Amino acid sequence: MTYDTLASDDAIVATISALKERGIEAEVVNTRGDALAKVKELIPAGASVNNGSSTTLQEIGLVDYLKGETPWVNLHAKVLAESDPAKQKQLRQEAYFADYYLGSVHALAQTGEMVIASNTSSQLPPLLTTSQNVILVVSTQKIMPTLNEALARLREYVVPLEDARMKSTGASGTILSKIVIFEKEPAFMGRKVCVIFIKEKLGF
Amino acid sequence: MAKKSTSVRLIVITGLVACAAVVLCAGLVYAGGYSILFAVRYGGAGDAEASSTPTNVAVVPTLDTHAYDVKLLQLAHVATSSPWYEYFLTGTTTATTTLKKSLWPVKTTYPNYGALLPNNRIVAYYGNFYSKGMGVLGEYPEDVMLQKLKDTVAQWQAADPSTPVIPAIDYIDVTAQGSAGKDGKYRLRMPDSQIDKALDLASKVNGIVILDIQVGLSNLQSELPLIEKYLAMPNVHLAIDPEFAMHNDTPPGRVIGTMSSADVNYAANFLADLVKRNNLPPKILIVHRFTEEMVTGYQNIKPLSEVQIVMDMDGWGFAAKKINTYNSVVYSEPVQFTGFKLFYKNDLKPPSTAMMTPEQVLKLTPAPSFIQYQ
Repeated sequence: MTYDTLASDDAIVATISALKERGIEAEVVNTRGDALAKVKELIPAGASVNNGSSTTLQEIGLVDYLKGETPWVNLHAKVLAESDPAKQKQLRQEAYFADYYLGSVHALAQTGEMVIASNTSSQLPPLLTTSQNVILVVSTQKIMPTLNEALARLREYVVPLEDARMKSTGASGTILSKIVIFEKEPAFMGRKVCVIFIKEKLGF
Repeated sequence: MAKKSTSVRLIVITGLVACAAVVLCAGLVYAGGYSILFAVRYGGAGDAEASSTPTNVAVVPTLDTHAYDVKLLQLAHVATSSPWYEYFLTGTTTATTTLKKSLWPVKTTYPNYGALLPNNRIVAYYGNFYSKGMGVLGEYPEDVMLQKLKDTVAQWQAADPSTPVIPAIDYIDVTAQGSAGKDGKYRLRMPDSQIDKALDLASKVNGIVILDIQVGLSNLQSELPLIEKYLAMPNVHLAIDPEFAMHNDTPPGRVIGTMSSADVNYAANFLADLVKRNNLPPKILIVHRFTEEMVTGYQNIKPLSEVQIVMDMDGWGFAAKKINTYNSVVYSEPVQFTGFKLFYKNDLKPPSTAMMTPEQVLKLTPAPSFIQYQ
């Protein structure tokens, strides 16, 4: 088992099947460009969007796309643009309820469990409950055979790389404060959670 | 307190009036403005495998120690043809003549990944927002000051394009006083709102904050814990000013104060502890000095992998005097990195006719990594 090898087609098929069993839609695309096009296709004009910090979203070009003119209401950009702390807090709360939340996961198991870690937890509310639509863009290198191996990927591989990435920007290193295992999306919640797999090494 | 000539022991007391002005905290969220500006090497645990080989080990970036040493040699103006250059990098030399060991660069502890020095130069504006007499920070309206800082950063970047410049707000958070104060310590602590203002200003130029401490008759053990929450931020660093570290109940301003290597090491270890507990990139500790007596036992000052130490020549006067002071108290007593202070007003007092230019300062050996403007 390795942490940076793209999963086989068989593993991808098994994962998509397991996710569907858990109430999570999933599909696979070949390239980062295809992934960006898919995201654009899934979000209707006029919808409000929010996104978490994600190297994968950066690498598919979504972060740069969001900096320009889009057909959506970009709530994350409004948060970043506000310098007044009180107003920024208010905007952050509003962003939690964006129609669409965009992010990624740190690992997932072929059995369908998704592993997401957070130090500040800021991306967790929309991902877990407050946004009605969640789109997760995930390289197939993050697919692990089991949940235990997905958790090991997070601890042994993702955290050291994220720590170095953050320090390289002058920020504090990361701290593994919270780990969420996303087991399933209950139907009664009425939310739509969609994973877009990419057959490219993106993020880490 | 205001600063001093490099030789004349005339110190003007600039008392501060405690101000109740509340500045809203707008800058506590750090937006790391500079990019990956330090040399990195991808190695560590994954070194044994080629980078393209699938791995179950995170290949984390680490400090490129060779590039680090080469940059130190560049700052020290050591020619690549010099036997010392080869010796510094490899520990051996093929020179047939006796090797004359140079004071610079200093071979000491390598920093942890994420260190700002030596591959960046920090250009700082110094002062206190309550006082127009303590430095450029308090002298001009905010927008004017920030534009001047940006322009100054651009000058330094042009003077040395190989070293990215990081702007800094060097805020005097504890100021020595001419009066004893309630507890008789001859120092005034600034309210948090003023540090928040410094953070806000720094965020506007993608810079860092340096908290400058003049302890008066207090000490670092009493003052540093009070600003721990700020020093635990990744973009906040520390400066200590021995000139105003007084002893034997002598108030500041009458004689020049002093700190020992134990004081400096205390500050370094205080910062190192914060770095370790909060998983921070290395801190910078700046120690001001313009006389030999201001810092005693320099040989015992210990840079740490969590803390980079800058000895900063902060005397004013005409160029030759400043250069002489730099050579006598910073060059000749090597610790790790160096700094140089420029005074917009005092450096122009007769017989001086002009401030030193970046090009002139960069000719110093070693070329300073920290530049401070008062």
